[in-house]
Amino acid sequence: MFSGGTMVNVMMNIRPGCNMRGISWVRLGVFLAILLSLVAPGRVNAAPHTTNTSGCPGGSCPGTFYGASPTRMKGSIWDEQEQYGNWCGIANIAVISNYDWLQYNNGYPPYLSQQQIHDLLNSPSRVSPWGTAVSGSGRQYGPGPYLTADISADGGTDPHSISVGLYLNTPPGYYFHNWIYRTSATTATYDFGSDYGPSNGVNDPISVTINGGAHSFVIDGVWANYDPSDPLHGKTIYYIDTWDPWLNGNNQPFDGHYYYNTTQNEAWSLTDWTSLSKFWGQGYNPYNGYDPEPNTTGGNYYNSPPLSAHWGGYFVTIEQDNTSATSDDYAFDQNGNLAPHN
Amino acid sequence: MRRTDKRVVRSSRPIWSSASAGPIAGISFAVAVVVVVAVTLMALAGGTRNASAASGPPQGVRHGKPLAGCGLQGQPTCPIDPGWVSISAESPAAAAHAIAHSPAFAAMQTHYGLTTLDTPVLVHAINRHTNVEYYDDDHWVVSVRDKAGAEGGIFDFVYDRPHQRIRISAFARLTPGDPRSHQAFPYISASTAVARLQPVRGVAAATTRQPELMFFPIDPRWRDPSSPKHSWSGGGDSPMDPMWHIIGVDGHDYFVGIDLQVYDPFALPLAPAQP
Repeated sequence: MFSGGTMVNVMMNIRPGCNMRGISWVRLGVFLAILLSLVAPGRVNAAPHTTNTSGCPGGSCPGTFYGASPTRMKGSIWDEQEQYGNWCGIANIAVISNYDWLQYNNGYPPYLSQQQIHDLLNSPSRVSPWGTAVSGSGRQYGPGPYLTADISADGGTDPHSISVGLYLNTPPGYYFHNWIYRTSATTATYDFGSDYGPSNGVNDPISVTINGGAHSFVIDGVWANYDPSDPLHGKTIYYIDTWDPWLNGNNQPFDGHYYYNTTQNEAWSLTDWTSLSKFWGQGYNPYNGYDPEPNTTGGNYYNSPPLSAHWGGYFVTIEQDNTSATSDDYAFDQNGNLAPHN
Repeated sequence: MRRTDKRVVRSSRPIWSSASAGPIAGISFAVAVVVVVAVTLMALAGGTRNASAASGPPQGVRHGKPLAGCGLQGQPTCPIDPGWVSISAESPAAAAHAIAHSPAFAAMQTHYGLTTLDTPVLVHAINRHTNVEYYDDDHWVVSVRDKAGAEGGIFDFVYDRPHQRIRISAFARLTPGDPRSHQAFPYISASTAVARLQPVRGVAAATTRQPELMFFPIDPRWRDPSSPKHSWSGGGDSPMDPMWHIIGVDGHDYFVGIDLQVYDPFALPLAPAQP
């Protein structure tokens, strides 16, 4: 991008001939243009927040934080403890939406409460292109569908409805999709970790499904020894920065129990993040009674082949990308290809 | 044919040569420049994405989202570096020294503005073979102050006793409204726990063995609202939320929970042991 001084020089050099009065007005116009360009609103590539530490000549490294703005995160999450026990996904939608609107225009939109987000996802207009989900037996067993936007009989928000909710509730130009990592917990962590960093990072908080699908966190960054968003450079991720919607800003749990984090904001080592079953020590579990595979009405199955594993056994997130051409109804796999669907 | 700047609006007479049209010319020129700059900004606002659309996506970037570049076939393995640090002795002072010189402390200290460690406390893992290091090893847990002097967070370090080393498990950030921000860990003292034994169980604590903090791998059904295990309120599932293990004068084991209730060993909702 041109600097202000360079812009002036370029403009003056190509300016056609003019008299003195014309020069002064042109000069004024150029400076006005530069001034306006500097204050032009709109979305810019989200600058990552990095806490640069000393270099790592060898051995263990303290790591640099690559992620969303901590100040903006604090402002986005403070009041968004999930209002009901199965509203973790709804709370995540609220947090990420708050963050994105703060980033977009330094303020909130016409504020949508968690109740309004719930109602939005439960309206008849949110039925997926494959219909609503049905309760069933076996792999498709679940107490739901809890919301119209679910494509499974989920007891809360399934990954599809979280993706839809994020797309609907965030500013123009923000796109979200369900990412299904059919790899390992470590590889999948590096995949969402690559959302953060100055090279290619989106640097936006994301929703990550944990404990087999029974709960979800907001994750807003990682600590690493090199820019995680640079796919061509080796790096090591050390810790994952998590936000637990079960806890409020004073770290008090929804029902008095700390099932996951001890505090709302907690950084977990990659070792324990990938080994503890309450996090990613297990993949999505469609047999836990609450988080079944997709099963939509009238035999118009979302999965391809019908009723096959879609989320089961894999590591599931909802992340921001720039794919406006693909509806938020669809999911991507670890290679960025569309997950098999009908 | 003389070329004209296409940023200038064409008219039947030269715009720039007319003194009376100076202000209009200047403003028109400014508007044109603003449009060009705005278009440039819009192109750049997509960041590498729009630039990529013109020149092809950076390798390893799909849909504007980077991919890891490791872990898949033909790629290097995604590394895990636990960050082990040697500990010279099994004492709070040695643990404090090791923690303060660990990379994890440096990282969190910088990010959260932390200053002074309190005294580390050893939390024992119940003897339960899980094949998960977090549950099979003891932990050193310590609260840390921030620049304002309040408790800013809690560090949890896994303690590999055979190799005399520690590594971070987690850092939990305390906020001013959290009651724990006004007290060093642990949040229930040994004396408070011991004092519960007599009134609840009619048993005094044995003096031959000191009370110990303890945690255990909890039955996963505890997190299931429909399970009877869900009613457990004694804590103990995290080293940062431990129970007190006390031996009574009757020789039995007792566990005092975060709810200050006294439990027998068989009452603990333990996760199934691994073979």
